[in-house]
Amino acid sequence: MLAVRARGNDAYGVTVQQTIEASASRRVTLGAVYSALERLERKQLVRSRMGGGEAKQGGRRKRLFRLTSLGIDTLASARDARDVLWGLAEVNDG
Amino acid sequence: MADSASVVPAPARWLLRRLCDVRYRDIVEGDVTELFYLRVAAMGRWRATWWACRDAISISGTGYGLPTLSQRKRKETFMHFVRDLRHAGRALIRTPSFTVVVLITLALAIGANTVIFSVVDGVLLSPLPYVEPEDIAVVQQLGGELNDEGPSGASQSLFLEWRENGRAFDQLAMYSMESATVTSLEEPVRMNGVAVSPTLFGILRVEPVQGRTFAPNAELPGNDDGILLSHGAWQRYFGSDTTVVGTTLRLGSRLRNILGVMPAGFAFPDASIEYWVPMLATLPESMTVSIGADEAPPSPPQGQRRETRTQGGPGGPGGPDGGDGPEGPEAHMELWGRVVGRLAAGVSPAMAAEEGTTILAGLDDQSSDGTVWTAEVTPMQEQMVGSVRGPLLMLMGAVGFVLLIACANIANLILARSVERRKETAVRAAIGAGVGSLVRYTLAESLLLTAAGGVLGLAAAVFGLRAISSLGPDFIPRLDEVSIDPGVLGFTLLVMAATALVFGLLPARAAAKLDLNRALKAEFGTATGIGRSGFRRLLVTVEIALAVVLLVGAGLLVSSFIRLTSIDVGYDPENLLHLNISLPATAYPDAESHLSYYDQLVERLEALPGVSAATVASQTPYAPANIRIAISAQSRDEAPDPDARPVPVGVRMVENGYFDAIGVSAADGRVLDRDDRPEDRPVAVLSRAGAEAMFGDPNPVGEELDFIGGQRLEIVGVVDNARTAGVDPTPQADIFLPYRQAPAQMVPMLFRTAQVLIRTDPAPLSVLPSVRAALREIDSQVLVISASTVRDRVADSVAEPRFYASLVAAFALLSLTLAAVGIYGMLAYVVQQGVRDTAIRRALGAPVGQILGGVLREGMGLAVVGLTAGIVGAFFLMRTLESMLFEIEPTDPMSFAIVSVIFLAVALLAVWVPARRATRIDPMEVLRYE
Repeated sequence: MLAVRARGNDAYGVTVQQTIEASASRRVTLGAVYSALERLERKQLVRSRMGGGEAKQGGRRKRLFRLTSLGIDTLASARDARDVLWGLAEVNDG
Repeated sequence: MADSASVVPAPARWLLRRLCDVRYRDIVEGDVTELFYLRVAAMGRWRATWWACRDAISISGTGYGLPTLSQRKRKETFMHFVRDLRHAGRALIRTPSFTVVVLITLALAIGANTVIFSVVDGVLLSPLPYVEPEDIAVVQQLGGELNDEGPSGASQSLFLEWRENGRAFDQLAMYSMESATVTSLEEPVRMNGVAVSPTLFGILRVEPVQGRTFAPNAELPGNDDGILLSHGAWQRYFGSDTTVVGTTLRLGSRLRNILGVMPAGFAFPDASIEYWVPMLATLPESMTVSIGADEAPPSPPQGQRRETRTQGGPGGPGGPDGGDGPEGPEAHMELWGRVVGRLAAGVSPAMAAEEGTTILAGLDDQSSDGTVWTAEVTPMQEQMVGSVRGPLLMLMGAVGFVLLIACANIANLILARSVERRKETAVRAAIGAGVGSLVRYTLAESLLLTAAGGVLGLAAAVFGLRAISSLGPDFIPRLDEVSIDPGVLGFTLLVMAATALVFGLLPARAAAKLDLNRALKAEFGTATGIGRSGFRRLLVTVEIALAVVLLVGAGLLVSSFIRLTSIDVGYDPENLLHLNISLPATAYPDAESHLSYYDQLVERLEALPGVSAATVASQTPYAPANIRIAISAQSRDEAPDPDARPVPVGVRMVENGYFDAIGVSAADGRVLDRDDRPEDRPVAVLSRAGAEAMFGDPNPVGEELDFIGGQRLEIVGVVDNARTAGVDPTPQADIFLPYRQAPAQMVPMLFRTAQVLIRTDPAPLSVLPSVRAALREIDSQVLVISASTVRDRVADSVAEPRFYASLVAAFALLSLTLAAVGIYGMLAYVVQQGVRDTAIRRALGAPVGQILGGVLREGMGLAVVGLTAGIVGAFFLMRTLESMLFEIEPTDPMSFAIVSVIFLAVALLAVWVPARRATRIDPMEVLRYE
């Protein structure tokens, strides 16, 4: 989801895969990306539309994803929860 | 696309073609291409190609990939099945007569089974609504002359001794039904209640929803003025007033404190109970008769045992006012009541009974007259429902037969249908439908039929259960607890599934075994076509046999019922009005006040237009006497016989004029008349059965007998037996005494409620308003508990046999119809299949009679074989009905004969129609078609 958000208006299979690969520094197949996006779409956290064709895709149209408002909220609350937990962990460490 | 295809490495493209859903291939190929170029820059062409292939393979698990082989197969099978269902649905709609017959058959069979199973489940199987109900047991004291008088409970001395020194029960309680008039409400109300030991609520483990139950000392004199209300009574009479606890209530002549309100649904011992009051546990040495207890049989000094009986039944709950306080004669009398307890851990009813019998042997006053008493301990559920277990199981058997017949019938219909459709099936097989798909199609058809039949059946069950509950046969306990619960629904579904299996697999088997060549060659159907007709004949025969068994059962029950209703009751029940009235104890404290009221009442009523006679009695002629006394009689010519055993007889106190009013005249001697005054010599009239039981002589006029209180009665007349109608209407051994000469001990017991009988010229109910007005005029405090015609009450008393007889008759008619449909369907197809043979025979000059005879022989042959099997089966099965039959043997040849004739007539009708059709076959038309 973060990857979709990070790519803004240009989130589709390849960009999402590249983002994940870059941030997690491990190889990810296209299929894994697709099924993750499918799951998110089923949960209505992202939605997709067909974008225009591009030369680098050989003129084929691509499927663009973006977060729904539910997805944005979910992401924010996940972040909050993580922050709270980090805060607690740091208090413990300190 | 041609330019772009070149940029995806060939192996990856090859994989994508195979693994990617064509609808998404564009998107996927675009992504794979872009990624490939990014990777070429990062890792070189070979590794990028390797990764492109891995990407392509990874697609197969996602929504973009093609479904896997197993997924595809499952989906395909499902789609095929949906298609089969649609086809089957259309085919069923195209043959409405077949579909409707099958659906009605299914609906009735499933509906009837669900209703009866619901009743059996709710009444017999589901546990009583108490905590650990299996430990609650009922005590019964047996022995002496009262052994055959039916259940009546146990003596208080047994109860007290057992509670004190026994170990089998954790707790024991005694209770006794009563009813009383509440006068502190806006208008007087008669309520049914029960006097109970305070421990009862601990045994049943119920708590009131408001207030508390009785304290342990409530069974001691002086502490017993509490009362608990049922939830229903609280709603009805107190408008669900939450402040009712702590207020008082005038019940009979006593003021009682309302201690609590019991929860809704708490109905002990039955749903008619509206209040509970404490029962005293100890009795003073010279006790006063607590006439509240309707089964308190005080034993008179002579060692005679007297037992008041429940006055329930047709006369309505009419026990005298309970808790009306000490009053009446002094005598040593023993209280009897019902005893219930919670068994101690690890104690079985049999062990408890043994302990009870030991305790009884140690009780002096119980065995002084040489009677050997035993105790019997029965689980409460068994005691409650024991009497209906047999009939209900019988109904379940009957309804099971209906289901079997229905299954056979439906299987037969479907088999016949599959024969008819052989050609269609053959064509389907010929153009490539596998055996699997043919089986699937037939299964789809039966699934549709059973699902629809099941839904209809459930609707029929809901309707039927409502009908049975509203019929409210009150002889079936716990009927109000019955509903179609999930368990019963499960049973219905099981029945449906079994049915689907039975008649789904048979035609499927036929389809699987289909011989293509033969089927296609059998152009229009020939005699060889009825391949499985042997099996179908067997089905029809079994069906007929089952139907005949049901018919015989129904025939026996119906003729038994007819005998019951047509017996001579011994009096004239037509144009007889009955009112059960109750006199307030405060205004009518003694015999004189009662008698003067009765005199006034009879005089007033007889002056009303339309009334030809009126009288008062302690009990109506159609109900058993509510007091039974064991009397030893002896003939004056004989020396006193010390071994003479006392005989239990019913005591009926009557106003003079009673016999005239109910239309009975003396068979010997005279009846009681107005000249039998209190100061005269006490006289009595006996019923014929009473005379024979006491004197061994049908005509003992002039004999004498010893009665309660040292009274010596002269027998002045004998009347013919009056019968109380019912399941076992044995002639009553009764003694009739004039009210005016009643021994002092009987007074309080017999006077408080009275049965008024009025002979009318017009329809009895038309006189009722003026009768009520007359009663009000004399004394508005006198309460009319019930009013009805005697004819109606007599009809009510055979409600139980009527209920069972009509249900079984309905099932039998249903199965007869099904069997007839079975025969008809079978033969119709046989004729249809044999159409070419018949045509050839006709063309060769066979006479119509011969063809008709052939079909008739075939059909009636089946009918006779089935009938014979059914008669033999019935001969053995009907023994189980014996206890439900009245004056008719379970092997009554007449019933068997009548049933056979009826059945053969129906069978002939079912055979005749297809037989006629066979004779109308036009040979030219058939052969030209060939």
